[in-house]
Amino acid sequence: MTAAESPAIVTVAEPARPPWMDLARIEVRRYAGRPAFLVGLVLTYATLLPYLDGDEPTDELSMIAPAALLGMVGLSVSAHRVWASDRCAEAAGPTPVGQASRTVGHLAACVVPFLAGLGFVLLTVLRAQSVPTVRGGYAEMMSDGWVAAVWFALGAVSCLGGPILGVVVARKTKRAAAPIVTTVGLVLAVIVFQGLFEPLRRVRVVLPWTYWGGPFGIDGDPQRSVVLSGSPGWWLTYLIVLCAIGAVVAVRTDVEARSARGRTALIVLAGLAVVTVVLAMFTGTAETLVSPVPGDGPAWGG
Amino acid sequence: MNDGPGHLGGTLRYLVAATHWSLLAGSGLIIGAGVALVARWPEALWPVHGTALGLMVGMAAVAVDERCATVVDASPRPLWWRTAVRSAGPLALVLFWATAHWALRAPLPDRLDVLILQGAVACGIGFGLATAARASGRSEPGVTLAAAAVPLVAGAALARPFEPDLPLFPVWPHEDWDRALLIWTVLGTAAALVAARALWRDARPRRNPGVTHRPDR
Repeated sequence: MTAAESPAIVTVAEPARPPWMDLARIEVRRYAGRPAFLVGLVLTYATLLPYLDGDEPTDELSMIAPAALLGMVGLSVSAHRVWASDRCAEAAGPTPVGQASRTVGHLAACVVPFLAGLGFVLLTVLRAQSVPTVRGGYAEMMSDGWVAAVWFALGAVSCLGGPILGVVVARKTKRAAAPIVTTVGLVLAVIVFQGLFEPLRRVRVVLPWTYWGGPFGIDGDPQRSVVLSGSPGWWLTYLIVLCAIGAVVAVRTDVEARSARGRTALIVLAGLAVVTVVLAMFTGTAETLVSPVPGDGPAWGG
Repeated sequence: MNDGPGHLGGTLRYLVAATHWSLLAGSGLIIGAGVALVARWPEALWPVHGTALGLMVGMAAVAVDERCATVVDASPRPLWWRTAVRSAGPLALVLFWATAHWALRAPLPDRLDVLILQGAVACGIGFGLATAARASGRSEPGVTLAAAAVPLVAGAALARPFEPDLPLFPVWPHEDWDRALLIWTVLGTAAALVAARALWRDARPRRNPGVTHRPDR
């Protein structure tokens, strides 16, 4: 074989890649370089610094850090990435890469905050093996599998769901305020449904983020730890189904990408979401469990 | 610059045209509702206060955005004058923030000075950073800044990292509120200095007159 022939052979041997794969690689790189993501990443991992003190108990409530600083921030980051690439596409004129392929590229980039959140969860789980969580807390009361499901859902899946929601928002509207309004609305909803209000404890699992235990208090002991009702395993499945619904909805905003198969998938996923959220509500821990260890923190007002 | 009898009229006309009134009113409503919710259930809903602060940063930043910057920046009105007029919106937001806290102070922590200062500095940070970006030639830096600031501030208020050492969002009475006052004062001073430096540099006579516009990212 001569040197002149070899390039032709290489071209034939190389399998054709769908355009979304190249776009995904570009979007992954761009997402990882966004300043808001990087600031959130640094702040998230900085919350692990107290663990340098070997006596510091592992924080069972720390999953709020990746969820808020990577997941919630990801909503805005994703939405603005989608709009930025749309502006480029419009400026370029007719291109062989359609909106659906671009959307898949953006959805693939959501793996960046997910992996960052997963790393945080794994570090926390590893730390908890050597230095236990606070005495009497929910992590001490429940099995390792139960705690792992809660932490994975709160700390990693939330980092996937927020950015996917950002892609959906950006595909549904071009209004610059939309991600901000969605973020504020999400924060309000999550705070109300976090489990502090007793009448909402059963239905709280409908929300994509909620607490499964913590120092919520009982009569006479405002800082006593409790475990809230429901099944975190089914809730985790519900969250993954929600992410899949978001991805399908985002892709289907491109009229050319709509197909009967996609519609069927959406209906099946919606049905799965209903089933899994009902199971999350009514299986697992039947009622609120109260820790036998008294709480030690002060109540509101001192 | 026109210093005649039409000066006040021109200022008012610019104020009316440049301010995003619907956005200001909408965010004011959300912020007012947020403070009212926190006052009703302070122990449970305290992170809403931080979210409202994030919104203050974002709205103050958006107030600086100049959609027609390529035209307006070439007009005789200097940037410092337009910035001064545009500050009316964020100032109104700070006034509203302070009034809401004063009216609902009973169930809130007994450190109204810190709570009100947080709102004023949040607006100052958004307005100051966006003003610095405007002075560097960007037309609408506020939207980009708001998109990053609102979730980051809300996220920081929810997660409260380093709260024992850097109490940015103190909640409990036993927390170090005096240190929080110091931190917010330093942040406010820094934001004011950044904005003042940018405006001063913009107001200086230029060796090469003409405004270079940079693309908003």
